[in-house]
Amino acid sequence: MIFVDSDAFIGLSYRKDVHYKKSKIIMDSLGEQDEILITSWQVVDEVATKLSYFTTKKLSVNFLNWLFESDIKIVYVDEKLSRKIVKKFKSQRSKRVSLTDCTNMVIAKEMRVEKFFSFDKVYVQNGFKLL
Amino acid sequence: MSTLVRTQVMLPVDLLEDLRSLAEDNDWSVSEAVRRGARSLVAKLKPKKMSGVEFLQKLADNAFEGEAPRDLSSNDEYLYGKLAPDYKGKK
Repeated sequence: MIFVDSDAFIGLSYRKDVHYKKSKIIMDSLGEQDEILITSWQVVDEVATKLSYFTTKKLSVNFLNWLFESDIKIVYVDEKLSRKIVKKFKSQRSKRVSLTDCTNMVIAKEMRVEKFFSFDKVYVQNGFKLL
Repeated sequence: MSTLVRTQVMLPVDLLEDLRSLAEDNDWSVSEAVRRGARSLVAKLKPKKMSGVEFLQKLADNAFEGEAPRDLSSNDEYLYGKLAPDYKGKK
């Protein structure tokens, strides 16, 4: 199981993005492994908003429509999980680690996911692996 | 096997007779015959979801080719910081 973060989704959605080529290479390698992909609603929120702000509304809506037509598992945060996320957020020394990053890490830990499709070093600093 | 739930359906008499006959020929209960028929219909008509990787491929195939910040994927300032669009006063 692999957790897909916002930067991977956006990297694939914008051809001139610095992460487009690397994201495509990683995506191609995933095709051979037949991995189950998961993400969080917070990631979906970030991606749809950024795409709408800086590319087109149509692409943003396509992202949402296609996502719900796929078998990518979206994890939604309830009160119990949110308490764990706050604890994780408080434990981070850097103020540059977002609440969404902490949400993703707590979900990954709960679901025993070790690998992230992301380029964010914060996950490595917290004991996860990047593809 | 998932939990079975009792439900009630209205069937035309001739269809029910055919079902009973089919069930008897196969040593099924009528309920089992209905379940098999329902499963077959669901498998045939329920839309299949694309895989996660197929979804990613679709994103890449339809990637935006216009102009946007090249660090859009990795810079959260575009979302939460001073680089985020300010829509105050705009409709």
